[in-house]
Amino acid sequence: MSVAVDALETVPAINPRSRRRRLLWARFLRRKLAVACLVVIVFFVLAGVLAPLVAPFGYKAVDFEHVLAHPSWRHLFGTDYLGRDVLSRLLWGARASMTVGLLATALGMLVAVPLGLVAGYYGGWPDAAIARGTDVMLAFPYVILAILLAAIIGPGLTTAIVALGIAAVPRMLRISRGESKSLREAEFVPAAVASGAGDVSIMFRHILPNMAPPLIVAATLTIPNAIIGEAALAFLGLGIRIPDASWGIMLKDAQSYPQDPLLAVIPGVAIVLIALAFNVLGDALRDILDPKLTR
Amino acid sequence: MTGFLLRKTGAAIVVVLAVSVLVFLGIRAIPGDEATVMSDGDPTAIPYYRHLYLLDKPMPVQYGRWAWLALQGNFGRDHSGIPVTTTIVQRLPATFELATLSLLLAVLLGVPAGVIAATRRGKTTDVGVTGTAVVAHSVPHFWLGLLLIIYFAVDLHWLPATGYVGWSNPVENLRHLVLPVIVLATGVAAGLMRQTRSAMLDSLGADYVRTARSKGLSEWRVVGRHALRNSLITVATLIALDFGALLSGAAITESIFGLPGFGRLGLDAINSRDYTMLQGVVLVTAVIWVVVNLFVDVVYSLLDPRIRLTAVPR
Amino acid sequence: MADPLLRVSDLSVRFETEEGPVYAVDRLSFSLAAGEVLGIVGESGCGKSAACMSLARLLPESATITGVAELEGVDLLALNRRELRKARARDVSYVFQEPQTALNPVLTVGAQIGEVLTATVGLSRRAARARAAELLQLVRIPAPESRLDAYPHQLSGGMRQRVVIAMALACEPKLLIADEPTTALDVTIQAGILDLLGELRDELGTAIVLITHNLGVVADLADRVLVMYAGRKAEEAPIADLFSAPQHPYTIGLMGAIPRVGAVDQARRRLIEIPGRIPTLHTLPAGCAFSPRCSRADAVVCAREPETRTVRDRHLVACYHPGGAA
Repeated sequence: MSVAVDALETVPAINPRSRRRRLLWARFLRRKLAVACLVVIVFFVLAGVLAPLVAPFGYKAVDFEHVLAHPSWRHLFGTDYLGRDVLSRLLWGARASMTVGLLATALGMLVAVPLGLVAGYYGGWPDAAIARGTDVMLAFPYVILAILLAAIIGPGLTTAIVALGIAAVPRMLRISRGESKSLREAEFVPAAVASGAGDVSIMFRHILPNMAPPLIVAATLTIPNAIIGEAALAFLGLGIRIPDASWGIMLKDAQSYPQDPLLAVIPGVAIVLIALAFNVLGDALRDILDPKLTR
Repeated sequence: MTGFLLRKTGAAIVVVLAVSVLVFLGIRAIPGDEATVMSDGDPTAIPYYRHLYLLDKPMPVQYGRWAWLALQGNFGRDHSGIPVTTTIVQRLPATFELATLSLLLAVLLGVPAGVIAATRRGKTTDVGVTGTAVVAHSVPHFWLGLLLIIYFAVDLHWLPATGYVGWSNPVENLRHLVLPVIVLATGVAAGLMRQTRSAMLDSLGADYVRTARSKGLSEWRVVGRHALRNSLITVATLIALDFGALLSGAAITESIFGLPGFGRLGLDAINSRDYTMLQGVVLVTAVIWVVVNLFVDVVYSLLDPRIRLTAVPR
Repeated sequence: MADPLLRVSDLSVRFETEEGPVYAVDRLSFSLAAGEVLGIVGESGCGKSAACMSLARLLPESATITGVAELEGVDLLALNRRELRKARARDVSYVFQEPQTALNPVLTVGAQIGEVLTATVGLSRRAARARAAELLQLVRIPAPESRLDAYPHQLSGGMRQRVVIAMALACEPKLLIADEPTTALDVTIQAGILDLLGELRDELGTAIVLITHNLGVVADLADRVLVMYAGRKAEEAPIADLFSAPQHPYTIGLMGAIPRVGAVDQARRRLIEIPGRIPTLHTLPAGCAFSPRCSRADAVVCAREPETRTVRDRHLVACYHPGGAA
């Protein structure tokens, strides 16, 4: 008769965190589309990182003998109006795009996450002040920001990163603030307070880790916007400067040579591919990390 | 409701003030000032220009003067002596037309697509529509513009590549706008579609929709009268916000298609180092955005009865 | 029982989850006579809501429903969409737990009550409005005319729930399913709602299925009670019988866990807990679902599910060792 009762006491102790991590990883692997996206992203990152080693030609190497050439074995994607190899410039351009994309997003997160934590946790006037600050940031489209910055410190990589970073803040701030606000009402907060934890400790050690999933999703979805933004700014002459290679600059050059449409198509397709990869991955991550599905 | 509106207006004023200060400081931070530019290498002229442009007075005074004039709509003169305000006012109609037409097309495409995708969640239609939206969202709009120009204008000669014709000639006017409108509408439609779908999914999953179904109402009524009504409030505000974004951010498109719009002014200003113009343009851009947002808040408060009516006193 | 209004046989509701299929409701059978109030009692997750929602087919598409649920001879589970809509409008009404969210915030109360009348019964706008006012009166809302143009957020929780009940009664259904109608309300309001349901049963003769996890609520209103555990029926009995002579160890445990004010031996009376926790539906034991927590469990119990047997007059139990308090 006491057999059943004894059985209760031998429930094995499983480490909840590693179990969760394995569960998430399994879910990810099950979604082939997401895995494919990750492969594409890794490919582009490698292309950018290894560009100096892998590119058949330098990005500046002009060759007036072979201007506007069609694709051939020597120049897989042809050459542009100065005889520069398109493929090589494409690889070097990946460097610029990845750099700006990742750094701008990182900058945005660096600003948005702490501000959001504070705004959601304290409420009251810090929240109102930060909300107004967000409104101010939103009032400047990233192009205008880049224009202003370019006027002050000159066009370049830094200008692009800062302008796009600031433009990325409002969206992430909304998420981090929302999460912080709702997590503050969670049960573990008064428990932590009761055990003597200070505000900062509660925010960073308790609330922040729980905010991670939606922030990861938001970051993944911000990167493609930053990449497209980088191309746009380069196109306008506000970002990377010539003769450095960026997909945006390649598109600008292509604008003057409509007779060779390949020059316009190729960099654009590269942008679409990498942006698509990040966007689809971000959506998949949102499903995978959905707290309603993890126990 | 009045309390709500008062608070929002107050916030808007604060934001405009903050924006004006930032713009002012930003312009001041630009190396080289008006005086140096205007004096054109003549050192003796510098003090004259410094005095003319109030550069010898303390910052708050300069800001005060500028802000006071700006409030009256005076943004100074650009390098050719034309009042900045005149140029801005001249350029706004083109941008306005571009923004309006693009928004119209985007709404016609995006909102119904979002509703349909939500009602057929998970099925082929949904996957197709959502997939299209994701791809459209990943396409840089200026690239799309380039391709369209190359194909339709240069290759086929169906539509003009650049330029703008006023309303006096409606056919030509529209012909010049077809491509830019398509370019802008694509991006906005993609976003609208996803947000409409998301709002509809939220509504469709809400308890009151379940209640409506349990009452035996037809699916049309449930979706149309209950879910859509609620989602429409959110979607309407999104549409208004997109309009604001189009007004203030169509710079690249106007640049590619050679449209004499307001968005381009900023680009032109920085290329010609005309910082007075730049100052005015940046401020007006921000103010447009804040005003549109305020308008959105007003509309929202009118549409949502929870805000429009306060609780009945008992 | 003379021809019951509702006869449910072998009702099962299956969900597909990432860890495999799960039976939220497992071969549930019960009947309900016209004008009777049946209370379905159990802890959260025992399947009581799922079972009743399946009757009106309000479950998400991912649920597979099997079994038969005959309302006056017509199988609700076999109806096509059109017939289902009619049934939902006229025969079966559902009152949900949360009055705050059950009403559409952007439509007036009058509009929400009226739309069933105009859409299904075909009343004119004015007639529908008049009837809506009548219904509000029926659920004892003061000044009903003035409330018709109010929005849900302008009403208190108790009033909202009354509006929901009014909506449910609009087409004079034969069966009203009230899913935890008082759980989200203050204790002081609860009594009012329960009284209202009782009065409606007396005045209109509507059969009511009352779902709750609170035995006290059931004691007030129900004629018979069905106790569910892990998707299965544990015990079913007339109300008085259930309280005076509970048979299933789970029911006995539930009774023991009720704090009783002013009991004779108050000082020595401890709340008796049922040891262990509710099993997750993925990890049900092979035999009786309650066995891990039951002091009467033995080898037989753990091997095979118990059959439902009649142990007293109209008193059924699914247990190998039924009987009074252990």
